Amino acid sequence: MAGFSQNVTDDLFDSIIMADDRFHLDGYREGFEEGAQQGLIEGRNHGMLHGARLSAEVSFYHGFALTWKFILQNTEDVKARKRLKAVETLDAMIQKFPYEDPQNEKLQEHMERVRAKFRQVCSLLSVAADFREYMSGSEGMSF
Amino acid sequence: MMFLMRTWMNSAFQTKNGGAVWKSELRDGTGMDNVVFYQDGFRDGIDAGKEASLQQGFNLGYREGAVKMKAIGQFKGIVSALRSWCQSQPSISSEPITQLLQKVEKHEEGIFEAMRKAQELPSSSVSELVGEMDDLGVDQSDRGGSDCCRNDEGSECCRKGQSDRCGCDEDISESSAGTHTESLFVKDESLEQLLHRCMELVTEMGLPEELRLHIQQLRSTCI
Repeated sequence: MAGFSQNVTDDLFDSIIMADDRFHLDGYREGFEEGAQQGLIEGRNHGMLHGARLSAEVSFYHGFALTWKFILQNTEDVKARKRLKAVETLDAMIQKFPYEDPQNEKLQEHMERVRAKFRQVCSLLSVAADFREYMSGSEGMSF
Repeated sequence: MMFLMRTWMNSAFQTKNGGAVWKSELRDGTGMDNVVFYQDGFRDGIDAGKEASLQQGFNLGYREGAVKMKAIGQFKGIVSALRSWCQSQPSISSEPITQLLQKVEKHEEGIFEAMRKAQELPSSSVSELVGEMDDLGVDQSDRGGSDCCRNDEGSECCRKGQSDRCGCDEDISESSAGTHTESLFVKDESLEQLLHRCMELVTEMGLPEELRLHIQQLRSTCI
């Protein structure tokens, strides 16, 4: 009798413990689903601005370099050769730029190199590199 | 800080489960109220779910943002280079190209502004946005609203489902932000028109044909 009573108590206790687990697990599953959706949305919104800023900046340098390349290729000026070489180097650096991968470890390093080359190109072309809005806009590229 | 987090979690919980209904559902055979267990689990789950998907969402958005700005960014670089070249040519007025640059900058800023507005959307619209995310890559012309806009000069520009390819005629599709975006661009010239103007200026200034062709190529990616 005592054994039976003990069993009932154990079963009841187990069912309470199991109920804890079951309801906690049910809640966890639903919460996980909701959290995963929220994470995707929040991550996407943040990522979009980062990707957009970085792409706008790199694409800007690309358009700038390409235009000067076309102009300098058709110029007979003495300085043109040196300038053209610098512009072509900038263009080549941008071609290799890891646009698509925000988690690329060398992204920041690439960016700094492209910026430095751009400043050098501007100096060679005697153009004021007053495009400062870019220089501070691409920090923290991933979480 | 903790209080804010808790309040936010509660609201998220209620968004999903709506008060009285779930309370009665969570009573088991013993008559015990299991709301607390469920709610604790839900909160733990939200945290874990968010953590698991944030980077994935970031990567997804990052690539989308990068694609959207590619054409306008490159175009701005082209026009900036043209302006700097003009300034080194005493015989050529840099005024028309400066005006064009201002319009291009305004266009670019409009795209960023639409993205920022999308980011500021309240969290209550999460499920709507999730729906939109499932539709990524779907032809934007199915989303309702007019596909045509009229600018100041009265000419029409029509979007032909090209929006997600390069951010031309800006179309950030994030739900209600689209409404703001549309009104932002009604008054402005489209990117296609600005590119056309740039090609005219390149010809007028006697610059290389290759450059004009490159701009034409950029324009063709936007149509």
